[in-house]
Amino acid sequence: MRLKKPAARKEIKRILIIDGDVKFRKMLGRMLTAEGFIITEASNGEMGIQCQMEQPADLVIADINMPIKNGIETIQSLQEMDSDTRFITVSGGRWYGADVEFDIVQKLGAVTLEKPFKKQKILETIGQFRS
Amino acid sequence: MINKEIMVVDDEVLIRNLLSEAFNRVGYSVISVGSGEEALELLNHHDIEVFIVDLGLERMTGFDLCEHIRIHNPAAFIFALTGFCNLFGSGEILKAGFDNCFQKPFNVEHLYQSVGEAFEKIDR
Repeated sequence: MRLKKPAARKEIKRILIIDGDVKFRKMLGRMLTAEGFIITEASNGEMGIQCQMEQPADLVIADINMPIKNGIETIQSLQEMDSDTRFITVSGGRWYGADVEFDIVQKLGAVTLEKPFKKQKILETIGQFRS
Repeated sequence: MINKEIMVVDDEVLIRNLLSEAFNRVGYSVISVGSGEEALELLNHHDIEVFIVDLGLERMTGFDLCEHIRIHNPAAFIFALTGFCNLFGSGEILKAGFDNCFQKPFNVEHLYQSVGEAFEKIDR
């Protein structure tokens, strides 16, 4: 008996960046646009959810520490909307309780990256999702 | 001899002040602004040949500003300042139209050298 191959996941074309740091969003967005991705940006979790409702992205790159709705709550809401969306969470270093939060987002299926990360690192991470 | 005037574009007031003082001290006059939009507005009335531009400006990025300046003045000297060397290599920054790039925190002596060389070329 042949095992049925799992359905291939969507290729990553559209990426949503959710981060309160406008400079980081713009610079990361520019770099990823140059790599051929279509980028949308949101400055907090609620705006990110709104963007995802209007124009769903295949991958969401979200900061963990955000006002209004933090990265964990945002990922949970977005996963309920579409379980096929993939996530990378980014954070600006370690804080009290960071390990617990990293652990939670990893259990939610997100890959975590610490800022500042190199271009090669995030492209490799996106590449892993693609394969 | 032309007036040695440079424009500094950075949304961090500390960087603007630091560069203004540093370049004033060695005989340059400095126009400093906090955004790309302000820079373009001023360029409607001022001819400036040498620029120091932060890449991570908030609305119009340093990349966008460089592109705008180049359209009107292809021979301008435009130097990039960046805190995002992790995302952009110097090759990419030069390809975007900058003449050189400096990673924050920068050594002002290196900026003096590049700006000085730019004015030597303009004087020729």
